[in-house]
Amino acid sequence: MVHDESERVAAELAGWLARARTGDRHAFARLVRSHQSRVRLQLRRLTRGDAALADDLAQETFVQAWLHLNEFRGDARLATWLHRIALTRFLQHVRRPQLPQEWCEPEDGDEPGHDPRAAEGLSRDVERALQALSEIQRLAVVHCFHLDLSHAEAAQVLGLPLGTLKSHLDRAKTRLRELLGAWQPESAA
Amino acid sequence: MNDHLLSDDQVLDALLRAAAPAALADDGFVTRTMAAVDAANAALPARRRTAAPSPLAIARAIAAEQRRHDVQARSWRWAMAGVAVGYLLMLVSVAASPSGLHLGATSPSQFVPLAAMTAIGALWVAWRTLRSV
Repeated sequence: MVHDESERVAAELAGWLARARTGDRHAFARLVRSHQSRVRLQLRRLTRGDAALADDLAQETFVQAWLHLNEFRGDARLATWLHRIALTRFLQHVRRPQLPQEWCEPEDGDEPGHDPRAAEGLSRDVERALQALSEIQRLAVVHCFHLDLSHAEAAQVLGLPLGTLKSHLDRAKTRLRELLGAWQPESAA
Repeated sequence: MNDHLLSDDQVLDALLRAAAPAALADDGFVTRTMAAVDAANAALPARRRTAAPSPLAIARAIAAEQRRHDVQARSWRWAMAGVAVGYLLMLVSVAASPSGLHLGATSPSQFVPLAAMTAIGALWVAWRTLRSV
């Protein structure tokens, strides 16, 4: 049933995409509506909680997508392509050719712009635990678990080799397992 | 052991997925984005289309091509005439020589004038051909 629903959504998206490619702006507006949340969430994470900047970059991401829609080959999900454009727009904004090297280093203190008190219960604790990770580990977790991308898709979006992404993810999960121990059932912990 | 680790991993995955932030409401984002899309469209330079050639332009192009072809054909005819005249001159000069016309080749030196004339003719043909291209 869920599979049928996801297939129906995918078919609907493919239809809008085909119409948008012919210049149908209403179809493109549908695509924007269906992807705006995940692209804005990704950019809020990248901009460390700066919602206004994230929305500006998200808007530029969709404008870029509209202008280059015919270059989308369809060998990846549209969401993956949009996330990649969003990351590129962000890197252009911070004038970096790739993810900053210092993001691979563990950080001290809370990430600015993310107030763990704003979240409740599990979300608050996970958010706090995420602060203990390096930026790249945090991005790997966010792309795989919050944006629901596969490992290959997340590696493609972040411009990392698949093995590198998996190793960041493994290290992040080891650390998170320690920090979120209280949330794990007795049998698993 | 492996089952235990797998289960532990699955629990963590589920925790992380459950802690995903809630989807963001539109809040006018789509409207603002589509306005930006329209502005980007308006800023695009108008697509330049190549105008279809007029019948007069087609006729002129065909006439010019015909003229080029005629010049090339005339060059080729002059080149062939040059080669023929060269051979004729050679035969006349050999026939008018004091020793007369010998068809039997007695020494290789007899071929020198023939080879020279042939080379000159070939060079002339090549030069005319190249000029006409």
